[in-house]
Amino acid sequence: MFHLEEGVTRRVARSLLALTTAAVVTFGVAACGSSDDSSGSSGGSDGGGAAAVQTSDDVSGKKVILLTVTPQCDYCARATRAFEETAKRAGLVVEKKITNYDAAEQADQVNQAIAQRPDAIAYWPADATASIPSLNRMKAARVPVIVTNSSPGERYSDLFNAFTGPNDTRLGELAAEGLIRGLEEKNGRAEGNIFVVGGQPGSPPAIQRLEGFERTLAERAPGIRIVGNQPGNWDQTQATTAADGLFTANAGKNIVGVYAQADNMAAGVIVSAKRKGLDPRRLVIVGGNCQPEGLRNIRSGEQYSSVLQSPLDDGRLAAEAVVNVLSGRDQEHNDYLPAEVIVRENLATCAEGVG
Amino acid sequence: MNIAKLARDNRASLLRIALLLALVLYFSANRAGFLDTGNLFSLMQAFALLGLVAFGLSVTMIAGEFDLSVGAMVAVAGIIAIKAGGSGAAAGLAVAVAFGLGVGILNGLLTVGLGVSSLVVTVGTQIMLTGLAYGLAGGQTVSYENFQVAADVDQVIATIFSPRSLVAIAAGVLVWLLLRCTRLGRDIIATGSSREAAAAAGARTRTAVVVSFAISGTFAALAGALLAFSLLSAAPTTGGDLLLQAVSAAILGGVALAGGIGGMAGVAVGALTLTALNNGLSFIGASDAAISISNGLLLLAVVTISAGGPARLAELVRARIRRPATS
Repeated sequence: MFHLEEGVTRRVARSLLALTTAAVVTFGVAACGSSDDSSGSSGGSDGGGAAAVQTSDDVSGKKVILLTVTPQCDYCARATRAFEETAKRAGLVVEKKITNYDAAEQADQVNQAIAQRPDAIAYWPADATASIPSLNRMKAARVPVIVTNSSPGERYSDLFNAFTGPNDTRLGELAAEGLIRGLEEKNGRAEGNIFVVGGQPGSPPAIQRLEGFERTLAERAPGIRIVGNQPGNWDQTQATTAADGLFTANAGKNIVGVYAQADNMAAGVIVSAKRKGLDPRRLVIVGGNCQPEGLRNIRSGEQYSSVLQSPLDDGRLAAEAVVNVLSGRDQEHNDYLPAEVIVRENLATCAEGVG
Repeated sequence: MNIAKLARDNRASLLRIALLLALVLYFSANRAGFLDTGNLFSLMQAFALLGLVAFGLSVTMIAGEFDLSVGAMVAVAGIIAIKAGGSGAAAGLAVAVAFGLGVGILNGLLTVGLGVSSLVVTVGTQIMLTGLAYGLAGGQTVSYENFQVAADVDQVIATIFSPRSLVAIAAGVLVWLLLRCTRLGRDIIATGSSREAAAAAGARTRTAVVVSFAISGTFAALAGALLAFSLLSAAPTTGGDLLLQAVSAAILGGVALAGGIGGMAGVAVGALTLTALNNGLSFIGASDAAISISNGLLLLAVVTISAGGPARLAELVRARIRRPATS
């Protein structure tokens, strides 16, 4: 015979009610922050930019899961927004999963995305090196995959349908062109000692940009010597610290220029130069990515150049590639973003690319 | 059988299970496919990392101590496993786990030997391990070329499990047995309840502390090594917020920060609750920020309710209503 004491039952029931209420409040908050993308197939009613995707009827209603990285990174947020807008104009239903550059979390998100049986996955790897097992799983599940922004490399190109994003080697080459042009303009000749503040060590963009940069200098300006290289990890504060060390270590070497692999890191280099009593306008500081910091500093003359890398193009190209793959249209396997050297004269191109 | 007594004795456990079920019901009601085997596999893969780390950390908490170095251990053990795994993943795994065991024992010996707070000791080891991770990896992500290893550690077993998640479950069962069925386990619990009383009663308090740190270090290293083989890479930045997640899982699971209270079944429910919450929110497309806020709110809600918050609030309200009006 079971006996339930009224008091105990009431207390347990009250606690359960309280827990359920807490859970509902908690989920309510989450729901406030959740994307409503799954209901968002606009069917191309907004004509702006729709010309880029002309196959909306072919893919309308198909589901694409976008695995992307943190919106706290301005570039990432703009690229993600551009992807969603382009995809929705084409009639795709977009679901989004975000990670703060946590490769383990993203691997779990890939498992979940496969379980949701989407028509395609757009995949921005949190860490391209750690993406291979996930790419293998998506391929085994026969889900079309568009890798965006960070390529795991040509060696693994059979694991995905297409890559869209920057050609980082080319971005490095253009940064070198900017440096050469700046030194010729300011010093009359492209020679002297420089140092590099790089992105996250080991990450494909950091490696490939440096390769392109060094190759171009070797071919076109062998008088420019790289006397130091420290990581800034795509972060302005860390770049400032790295530049502090490099300016100090090379105090007697008459540094004439700096290559920071992104504009926010170039801003860190500028802070460091000022701390050391150096006038950034007398140096040739070149960056990349067309970030707001770059726009501001090129306009003020403290940074010489950047390299066009538009987050809007980045997101748009990925969504267009999804549409092309799903509708059976031709899609280049490596679909690179437009890139060019940005100096004060063509800053408008940069501003337009950033959006 | 008296259900009332059973409910009274296990009120907290029932509440924790009810919360987990409420989460599962909510997500499955709101989005088809949440309970599909593919998604449950994904959920268990997340549990494989969090659960294993939380089980180890919880043992130190039950012993009245705290291991702040588990996140850094996950990172460095992954790098060690890959670096030492050139001749085979098993060798890399063994070296990484031995390293975790060694650092765990060191944490325990320093804590009991110096008589200082384990918070201080493990802050030191955490910093040291992070530095070691950056040094070993040269500040880079290190990669492993044997693709078969990733397929092996993550292969699907019985629809929703993998070797990684089964290892985590087995680790939890082992510690459950240790705490429930051995004298050493009882010593660990007694040490966390009251070290002086436990020592006076003949418990081996120093051994209990050292063993609890050894378990914590070993489990974190095992989790890090298995994660590295799963991703075929390891980075010094891995495990950044894992410590907070593991502490949350332990507290959600009923482990008391003051020590002496808690068990592995509760920690398993706590870890599953967090993974279900994160998995479910990800499933419905919640933002990163919303997931973090929900994690924090859930923890606060459970702690408040466990501490009798609603009852105290009701008492306050009743007292307010009964208070005679003053002119």
